[in-house]
Amino acid sequence: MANDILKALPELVEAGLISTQKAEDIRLYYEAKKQPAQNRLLVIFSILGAILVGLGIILIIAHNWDDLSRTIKSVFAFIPLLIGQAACAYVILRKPENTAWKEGASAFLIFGVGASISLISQIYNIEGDLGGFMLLWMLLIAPLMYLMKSSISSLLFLAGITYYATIVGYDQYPSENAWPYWGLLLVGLPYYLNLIKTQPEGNFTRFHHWLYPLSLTICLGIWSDGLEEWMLPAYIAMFGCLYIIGNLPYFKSLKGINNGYLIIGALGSMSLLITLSFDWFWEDLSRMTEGLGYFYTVQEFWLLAALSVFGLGLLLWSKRRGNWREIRPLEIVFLLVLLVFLLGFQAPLASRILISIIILGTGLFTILEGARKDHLGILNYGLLIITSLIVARFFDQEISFVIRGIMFVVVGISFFTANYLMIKKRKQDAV
Amino acid sequence: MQYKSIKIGLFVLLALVQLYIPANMIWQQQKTITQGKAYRFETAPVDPNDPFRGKYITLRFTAEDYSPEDWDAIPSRGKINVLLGEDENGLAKVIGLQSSEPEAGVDYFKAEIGYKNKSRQIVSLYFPFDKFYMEESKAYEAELAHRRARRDSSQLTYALVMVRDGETALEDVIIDGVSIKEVVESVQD
Repeated sequence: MANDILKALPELVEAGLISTQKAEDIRLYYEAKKQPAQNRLLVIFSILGAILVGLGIILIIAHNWDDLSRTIKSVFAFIPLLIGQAACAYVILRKPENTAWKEGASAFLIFGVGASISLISQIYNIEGDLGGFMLLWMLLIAPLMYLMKSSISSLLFLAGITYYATIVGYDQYPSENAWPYWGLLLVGLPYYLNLIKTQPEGNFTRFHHWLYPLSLTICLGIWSDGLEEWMLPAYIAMFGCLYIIGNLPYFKSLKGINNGYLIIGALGSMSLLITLSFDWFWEDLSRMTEGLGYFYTVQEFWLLAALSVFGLGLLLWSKRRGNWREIRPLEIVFLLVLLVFLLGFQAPLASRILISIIILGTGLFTILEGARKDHLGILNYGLLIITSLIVARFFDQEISFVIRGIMFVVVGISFFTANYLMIKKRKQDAV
Repeated sequence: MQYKSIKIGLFVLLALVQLYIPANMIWQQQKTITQGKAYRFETAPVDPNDPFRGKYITLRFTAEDYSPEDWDAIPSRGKINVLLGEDENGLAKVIGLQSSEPEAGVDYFKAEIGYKNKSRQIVSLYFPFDKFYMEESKAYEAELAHRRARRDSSQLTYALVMVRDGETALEDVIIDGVSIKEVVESVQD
């Protein structure tokens, strides 16, 4: 776009629309903007280069050269680590402000640390479960993001601890608890918060906006101790929290795709609500009633309670200026689901119907919001919510074909009518 | 300036810790290898592939299934101390499991409890020395050689493990008296 504007400048000057001075100012403005773009490329390539070289070294090491003696192999094990440390030391002493150097050297050191531990484990056939290895690796690189002020360190750290949590919490048998994940998550948090403060629109900041909610979504399930039924409302509560965060003023000001919290929160909430609208969940739940008496012994219960309280607090705080009229349905859905869930132990059918009503309500509110804001995207999103509800009901045996058929026809017509009316209204407004 | 020197100090500290961890791993293993007692663990076969650490053969051991006298007292999860002895053929055997620290003079190591079989009164353990790393080109052949040897009941296959103060170091895998590396090399030649 910048190029198009620059090309148009002579024409605009000639037509007398802007002065020569203004044209020059505009040219200088884009010139200044171009500089960071080149820097950005350099940063990307230095990180990519460092990661590729680092991974390459790990692969070469993984060959496990049998002809070399144990001592020589052990010495080799330290080489990538020492190179990485030397590069980082150089950056701290000589190039503290150079982003490309900072990020590249940090990425290399991160892989250097991993390479050296894994080579030693290999040379000595040391007991090494992958989980323990990842944990040690992440602990050893955790301070780098702060010392080097390196965002790639923070991102790799976050990816690493997430991987660690999935191995230990899901894959491994016998599975262990992955509590260290939550501690490590807190270790990385101050860096992220500082990043939001200092570079609210930076590229690295945007990656963090996606990776944090993604990591939480992947890892929340680690809390499950076998009672999956309790995990579903807990997940909905978490998606609710993410959604509320995504609606905070700072996140709201981001362009759509950069707001990972809002997107993950919305998609997560909706897909789980649809899941809850099926009967199997509530049938399973109603069979668990005998457990209701000692629910406080279930660790999933406490997770659900904590997330709900946190979400409610977050909601009250975000609306502390009395801006309740701006509230969006998905911001309170998790609280409704919580009540419906508790009701479900006694009255599964009522709960199921209430969930469908919640979905319908969310859809309708979204459609109204779309209409009010004259936003086709929001309008169709609302229609999509209702459509997914109806598609889900398509699989319900107890509803007759005729009723299901009528529901489909009605939604089809509303799609058409709503869009038609809005576009027509726009045209009228334009005239 | 002061901020910078604090930062340099912290970085030096971090670098030292990063160097200390692998160095200490080497040091501990060397101590076990040079000062430990050698045990021969008879193997039983299996195989996967760990993306981070090249090729290795995975070992299971016949001694990993153990039926303790006090089956009910053994926890069903976590780590437990495995007390070691030798049978009449000079092969390692488990002589007891206990959660508390063993007394001096008894060789032991920590193993993960896999599962407990009530009907057979067996505790299945995961020994910590279950991976033997080989050069990439040899690992597959080694796996095959190991599997062949396991099928041939006349051949004894065992892992040579050094044990000291609860630490273990897997030294070699021996098939019918020959190191697995040599077995593979003779097959490849």
